[in-house]
Amino acid sequence: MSFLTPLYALGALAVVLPIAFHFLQRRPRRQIEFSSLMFLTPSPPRFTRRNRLNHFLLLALRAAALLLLALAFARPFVRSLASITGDLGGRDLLILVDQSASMQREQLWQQAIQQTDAVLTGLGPRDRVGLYFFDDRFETIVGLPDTLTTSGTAPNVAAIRQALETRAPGWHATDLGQAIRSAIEVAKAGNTNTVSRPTTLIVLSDFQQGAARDALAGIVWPPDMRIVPRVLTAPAKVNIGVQRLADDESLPHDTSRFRLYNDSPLETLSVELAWQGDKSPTQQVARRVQVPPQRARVVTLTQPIGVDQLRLSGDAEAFDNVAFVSPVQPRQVVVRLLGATDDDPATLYYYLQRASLGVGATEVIIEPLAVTDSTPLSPQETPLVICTRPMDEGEGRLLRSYAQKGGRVFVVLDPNEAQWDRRVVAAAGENDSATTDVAEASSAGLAALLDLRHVTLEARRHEPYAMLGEIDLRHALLVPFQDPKFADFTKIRVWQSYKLTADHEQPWQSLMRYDDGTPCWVEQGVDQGKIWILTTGWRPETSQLALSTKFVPLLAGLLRETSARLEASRPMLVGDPIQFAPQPAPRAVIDPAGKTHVMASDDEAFAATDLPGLYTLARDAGPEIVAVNLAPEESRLQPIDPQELEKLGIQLGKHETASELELRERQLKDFELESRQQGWRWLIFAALAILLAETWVAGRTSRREQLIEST
Amino acid sequence: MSNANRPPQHLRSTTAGHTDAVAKVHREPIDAAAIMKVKHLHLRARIVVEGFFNGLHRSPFHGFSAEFSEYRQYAAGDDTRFVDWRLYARSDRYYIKRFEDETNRRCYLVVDQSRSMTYGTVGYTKAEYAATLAATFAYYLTLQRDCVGLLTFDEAIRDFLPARHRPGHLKRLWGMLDRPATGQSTQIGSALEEIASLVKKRGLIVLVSDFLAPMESLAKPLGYLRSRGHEVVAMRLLDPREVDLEFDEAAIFRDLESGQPLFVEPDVARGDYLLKFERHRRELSDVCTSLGIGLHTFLTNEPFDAALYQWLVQQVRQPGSGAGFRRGSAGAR
Repeated sequence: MSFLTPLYALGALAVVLPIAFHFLQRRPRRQIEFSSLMFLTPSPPRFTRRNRLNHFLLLALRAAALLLLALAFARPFVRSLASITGDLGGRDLLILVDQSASMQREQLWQQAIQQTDAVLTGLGPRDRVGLYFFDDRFETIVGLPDTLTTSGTAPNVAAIRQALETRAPGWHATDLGQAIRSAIEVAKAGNTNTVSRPTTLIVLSDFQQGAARDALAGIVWPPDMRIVPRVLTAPAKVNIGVQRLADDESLPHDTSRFRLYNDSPLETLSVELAWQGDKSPTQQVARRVQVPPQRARVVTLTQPIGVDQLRLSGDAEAFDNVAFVSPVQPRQVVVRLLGATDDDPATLYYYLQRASLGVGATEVIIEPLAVTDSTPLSPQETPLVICTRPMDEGEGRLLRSYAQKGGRVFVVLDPNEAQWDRRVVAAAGENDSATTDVAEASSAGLAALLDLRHVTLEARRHEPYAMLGEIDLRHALLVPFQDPKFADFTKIRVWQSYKLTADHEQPWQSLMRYDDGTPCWVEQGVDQGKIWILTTGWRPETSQLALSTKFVPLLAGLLRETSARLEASRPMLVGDPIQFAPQPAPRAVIDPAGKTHVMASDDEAFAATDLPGLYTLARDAGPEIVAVNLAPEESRLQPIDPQELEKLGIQLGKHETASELELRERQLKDFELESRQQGWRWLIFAALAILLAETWVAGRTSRREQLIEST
Repeated sequence: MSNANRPPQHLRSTTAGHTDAVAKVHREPIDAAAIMKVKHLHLRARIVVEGFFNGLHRSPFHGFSAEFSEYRQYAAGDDTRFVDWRLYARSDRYYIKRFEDETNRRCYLVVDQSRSMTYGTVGYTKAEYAATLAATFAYYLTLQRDCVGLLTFDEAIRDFLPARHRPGHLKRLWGMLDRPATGQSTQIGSALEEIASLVKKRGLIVLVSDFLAPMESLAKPLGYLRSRGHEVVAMRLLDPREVDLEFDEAAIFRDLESGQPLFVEPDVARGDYLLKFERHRRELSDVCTSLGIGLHTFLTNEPFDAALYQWLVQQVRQPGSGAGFRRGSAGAR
C-alpha cells in the first residue's frame, strides 16, 4: 500500500496525545498569589485515581477512529506492478549558448559551461540534445541526432562538452530574436523525422538590453515547445561603451565623432579618452568626459597622425573600451592651375599660394597645368583645376571631360588678370561681327567647358562698387557661413567684374549675385563633377575678396567637397562585409589578428569581419585600412527581465532533469490510481462506524456507573 | 514606706489603677470589615478612636492640662513652692506635689508597604489594614498633643514625615498612608537601620508589618533600634490564611514579592507550614522579649479597637511610660 499524501499519516500520532495527557502529571491551572513562600515546601505529584485507566475499550475505540481518519487523509492506494514500470517518453533539448561580445565578461562563459553541464547530467535515456551558438548569427555546433542509438545521448553529450571547452565568446552583436526563430526551425525539422516530442529551448545568455529582439514579433510558437531562460549574471559594474559615429561632412577629414553611452541606471561616471596606435604606443590623453546614467555624450576629437584607436578608461568592463579608426595619412593634394604662375602680387596665383588651403593633415600643392590630349586629367590625382586665363576650345573640351569623370573646375574671370573679352571667338563663327565693337565677346573655351553654344562676357566697372547678395547659404560650399556671425558678405566690395550670360536660360545654378542681380558665382553640375565660375577676381584692384576672411574658407570649401566624397560614410561593425566596389577586389585582406585572406579578383566583399580592429586591404596602389568596431548595442549590459519575453508571446517553461520528470510522472500515475480506487471513502465510513460504537459504549458505561452510584 | 509617709488611699491613683479601670471597661468590638468599607482613611481613624473612647465611657475632651503624678514627703532642700498647703492644713504634714513632665512625646509610625502586605483574603489587604491602624494611632496620639511622625518602607524608605504636632500635619500623614503599596520586596532590616539613623531623638517607634522575613535579618536591626534608646512596639499583621493555610485545592502558589511559582497541595503542605510558621513566631517573640519590644499580633479580621486597646495596655504596663494614658488618668481622676 502506498499513500498519496503520506505526511497526513503523521496525524495518527494524535492517538498518543490523549494517552500522554492522561498519564502526564496534572498540574493545576489555578494560581494563587501568596504573601511569602518562606514557610512552604513544594508538594510532590501524587498518583490519584484520575490517573488510572478505567475504560480501555473506550480509549481503544477513540484511538482507532483517530487512526482511521489520519489514514483517510493520507489517501492510501494499492500500486499494481504494471503501474510501477511506466515508460518515460523522451524530449528534445536545444541548448542555445550566447557567444556575443558581452559574454566575455567575468565568469559568464564559465557559468554557461556549468549550466550546460548540469543540463547534460540530468538527461534521460530517451532525450535528444543539441548545442547551438548564437550571436547575430545562428550556428549549429552539435545537432539533434536523427535517431536514438543504443548508447543513448552519450555521443552528443561528449561532443557538446568538447565544443564548450574549445570555444570562447566572440565579438559579434546579439540577435536573440533571430536565434530563437532559427532554433524553432531546427526543432521543427528535428520533429518531422520522428514522432512529435516535447521540445525545450534552454537559452544560456546574459539577456542584455542590447540584444535584438525584433525577430520575435509575430513568431508562431509550436504548442509542444517551451523556452527556459537561464540568465547568466556577472557582478554589476558600471560600463560605458565607446562607439565611432559616421563622419560629419562639415568637419575636417581628420576629425572623428564618438558616442559614449553610460549603461548604469544610477551612477554618473567620469572616463578618460586617449589615443593609441602602433606608431604611438604611449597613450595621448584626448579628453576626460563625464557621462550621466542612461545618457549618451558625443565627443568630437581630432585624430593625431599615427594613432588608430581611441581607448576609454575609467569604467569597469574592458571589452568595449576601444574604438578603432583608420589612421590619418598625411595627404598631398595637387591642385592644377591653368594660368599665370608668377610669384607676383599682380597675379591671382600669388594669393592662392599664400592662402593655406590644406586642413589638418592635408597639404595642398598648386602646380601649373599642362594640357595635353595624351594624358587626360584624372580626378583621383587632381581633384581640382583652377583656371585663371582664357582657355581655347580644346582646353575647354578637355576640362569638360575631366569634370564629367568627377573632376572639379574653378574658373576665375578676373578682368585684371586676363582679357577674357578680347578673345573674340564664336563657337560656330556665325556671330554678328558688329558685336566686337561693343567689347562684347564670347569665350569659345568657356562655352566648350560649359557645353553651351556661346557664352557672352561683358566686362564691367562698378561705380562706385558692387556688393554681393542673394547668397545661397544652403549650398554645401557656403554652409560654413550659415551662422549669422559669418554670413555678412557686405564688406567685400567689387569694382570690376564680368557679366556672364548664356544662350539659353538657367544653364547653371547661381550661388551668389551682385547687388544688380547679375551672377557672381555660378555652379554647373556635370555628371560626377562640378564646374564653378567666379565672374570677378581677388586681386586688390578687382575686389576685396582676397582681403576678406571669407577668402580662405571659400577656396578650402572647394577642396573639402572633393575629399568628403572619397571617405566611407558609415563606420563598419563586426560582421559587416567590407565592400570592395567600385574599386576592384584587393589581392588579400589582412585581419586584425594578422591572418591573410587571399581574395579572388571577382570577390565583391570580405565578409569574415569577426574581430574588431583594422583590416588592411592589400591593393596594388597601396594598402587601404578599414576600421571595424564592436556593435554599440553590446555595451548595453543591463539584463532584460525574462518575463518581458513572455510579453512577446514566448512560452516560458521550467527545465526538469530526467529524475525530476520521472518523479512527476510517477506522482501523476499515483494520483490517477488513488482517484480510481478511492480507499479513503472506506476509511471514513469505518471511522464513523467506530465513533457510533464508541458513543454506544460510552453511554452504556455511564448509565452503569450512575446506577452503581445511586445504589 | 511607712504608712505615715504614704499619701491617703484615695490619692494613690497610679497607672496600675488605670489599667484595671481600662481592663474592666465593657466594650463592644467594632467590626473591622465594616470599618474598612468606609472610603476615607481619616474617617476610619476617627470612628475607631472616638468609638474606642465611647466604649470607655470617658471623653477625651475633659481634664487637666498639667498631669499630677504623686505626693512625696517634703525633704530639706525641696522647693517650698511645690508644698501642698491644703493637704498640710488637713494632715499637718508637708507633702510635695509632683507632676508629670510636660514634654511632648515623639512617636514614629513605621509602616511596611511591601508587596507581601498587599495580600488579603478578607475583602481588604494587610496594607489597607495597616494604614487604617496607623491612621488610628496617629489620630489618637495627636489628640494627646503628642508629636507623630510617619515612615513607610518596602525595599527602601519610601516616605518620611518627621514627628510634629501642628495643624495640617495629621492630614499630610493620612495622605501618605493613603498611597497604595507599590514596593516589590521587603528589606525590613535595612529600613530599620535607616530609621535609626533618621530619628535622632528618643521616642516611641511603632512598627506595623507582617514580619515575614528571616529572623536573622530582623534581630540585629531591632536590637540596633532599641540600643538607640527608642521605645519600640511591633504590631504584626497577618491574614487569617497565612496563619492556617486553609486552602481547599492544590494550586500554583506565586510569591507576591519574587513572583516565584511553587506547586503546593495545601493538605500535604499544611503541617509543615504551620510548624515553620510557629517556629518563626516563637523566634520573633523571643527576640522581642529579649530586646524589650512589645509584640502584638493581629489578624486582619480582628477589630481595630482591640488593637488599640492592646497597645494601650502595653503602654500602661511599660515601666516609665504612661503617656498613652495621660488622658485616661486625667479623666479617671
